[in-house]
Amino acid sequence: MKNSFLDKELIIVNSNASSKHEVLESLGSLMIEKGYANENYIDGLKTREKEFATGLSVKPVGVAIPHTDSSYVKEDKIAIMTLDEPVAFEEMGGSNSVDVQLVILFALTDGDDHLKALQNIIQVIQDESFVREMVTVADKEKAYELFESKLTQLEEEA
Amino acid sequence: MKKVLVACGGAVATSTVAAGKIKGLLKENNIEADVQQCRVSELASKADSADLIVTTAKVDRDYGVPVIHGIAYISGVGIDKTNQEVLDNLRS
Repeated sequence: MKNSFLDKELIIVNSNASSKHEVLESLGSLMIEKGYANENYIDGLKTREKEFATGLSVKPVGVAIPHTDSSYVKEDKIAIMTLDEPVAFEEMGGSNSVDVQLVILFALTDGDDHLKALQNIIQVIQDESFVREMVTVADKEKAYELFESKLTQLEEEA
Repeated sequence: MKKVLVACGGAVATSTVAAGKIKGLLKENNIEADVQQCRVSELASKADSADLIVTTAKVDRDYGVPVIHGIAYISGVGIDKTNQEVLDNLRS
């Protein structure tokens, strides 16, 4: 079964975004264009990121998981971005800065339907070799395949 | 029964994952506790009835209840230490 969270059109590889705001604007615009989020989604993302930062200091590169209130979201989706050069995000729960090269943005509606998928996506971030591979993929087809097969693997293990 | 509040910004994403892991941890260790999610903004009104707060957000306010920073439930980094802190708090 295909993972319905993933959408090839919501993946940007080798972005040259140079700030977290640019990252949120690019990924947020994609979500809005595809009709998965409301017009004011980007503002929601920026406000939430400022108040509750989402940078994670994992190996081999930092990962950020920006998200915001379900009220901005129309459909459960994730958007993915890999960056040519690391971009600084603040660390979740802390005050340090994290050099982020992989961004996984969650658009989540209310409800428990997404619980298992969300747990698996978080599990993915903790897999060092997966993160390493993910930041080196050359195109979004590859990125999609890699993410999809990793999620499928986790679902089968569960 | 002891009560654990698991808090994040919106009570949807990171606290869901952290609460799931904490429930699993408590089950494995035969500890019965009520694990509930909430927003950080709700902590002040809910902390009274809780024995422990675990949060993925930056919290430096004193709620009169022990606060454990649970970023490890998301990043995986230092998870054993965080698990131990949670168990120690609930066993005491």
